[in-house]
Amino acid sequence: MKRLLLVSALAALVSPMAALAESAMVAPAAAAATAAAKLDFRIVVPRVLFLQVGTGTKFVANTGVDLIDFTVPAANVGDGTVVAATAASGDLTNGAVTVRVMGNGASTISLNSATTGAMNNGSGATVGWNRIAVVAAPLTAGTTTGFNNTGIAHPTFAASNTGNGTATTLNATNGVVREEGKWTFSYLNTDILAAGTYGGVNTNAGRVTYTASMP
Amino acid sequence: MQIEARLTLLAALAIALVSVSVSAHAESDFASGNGASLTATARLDFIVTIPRVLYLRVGTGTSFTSVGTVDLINITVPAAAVGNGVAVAATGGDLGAGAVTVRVMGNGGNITLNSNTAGPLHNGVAAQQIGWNRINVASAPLASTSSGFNNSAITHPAFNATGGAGTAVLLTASNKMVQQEGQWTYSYANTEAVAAGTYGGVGVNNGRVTYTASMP
Repeated sequence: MKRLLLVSALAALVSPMAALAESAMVAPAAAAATAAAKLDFRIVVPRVLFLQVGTGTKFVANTGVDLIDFTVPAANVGDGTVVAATAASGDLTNGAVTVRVMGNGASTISLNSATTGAMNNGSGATVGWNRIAVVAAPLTAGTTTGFNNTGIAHPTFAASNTGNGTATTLNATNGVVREEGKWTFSYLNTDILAAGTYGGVNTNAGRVTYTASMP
Repeated sequence: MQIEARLTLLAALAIALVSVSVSAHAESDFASGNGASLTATARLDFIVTIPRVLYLRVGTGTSFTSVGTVDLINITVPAAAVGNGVAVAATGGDLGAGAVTVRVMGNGGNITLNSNTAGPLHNGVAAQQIGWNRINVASAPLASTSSGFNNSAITHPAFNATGGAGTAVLLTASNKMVQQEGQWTYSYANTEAVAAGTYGGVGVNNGRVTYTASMP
């Protein structure tokens, strides 16, 4: 019994040694002797998802919503002449917005648009979202480090004007999606409509919500 | 029979003692005479044999003792900072905050110090990697100097980004002696967004670095 207690006591004394990190003593050291010590490294990277459409800061939430503003010239109402957005529209001006998606948690990210109905003028007249054209292209100001600067396909607006559109799938490379580009919006102006202001700043169904989803 | 055996044993011991005493004779000198001055001299020769030794410590260790447990350098990237280029400090190491003690002692001439890894850190999916060139290392002296050691910033042997031996550092001996100490502090460069996960670990996913001191 006493021996067992002694062994236990010795073990308790020795056990703190096990917490020591590695050191190596070679003695005697023959010719071409080596001593080795090791370290372990661990890097924990969390799942993140970032979407920017319009004004934004990379990897930072920004609640400002850009306005894409069209004014149809009186002489061109409904004549099929495509109308560009005003110069102040979008963070890239003239109806263009930055689009940037980054996610690191799945092999794909789904990007979609959603609307609450056709834009209206508050008096019953509407403009369908299919009258808004979108051109996708790379950013002209240059590529952000680490990103793939391409024309990200715009998720087509819902044909019914309400709800989700047709999602665009962004494929990951080595588990990461890093895509950027720009969308430039225009108004097709194919119909003669009642005078008025259709849509607006979160009014008259003028707001589109883009959603990136990472499984 | 037992008495005979004992006598035989005693005889053997006596012979052994005699032979030892003969071989143990040191020098003696005897002087005599009526002169005013006599001198007698006796000499001794000394030999001190120093074995070649080599000691390397990276992390919490015990001086001139081998211990086998390995320290962990742990880095957690904040969610708001993934790949934003702002270096992420580590935790762990015997000095805390991702810093480790480095101590090298050898008595056989110059020593080379190198790092070696098995490949890029990964998160269990081989293609999702972090190269070792994304691990920064700052070298500095220790806060206090151990007796007999040169406390300075020991250059870290640069990692091979894709695995394998790094770039060796030469520790130059003075009178055949190398006694260097310092500290290394690790951080993660965080220069690019990578897939979520835990890269490296305790002896897994290429998370282990082996430092080797070599004395020719």
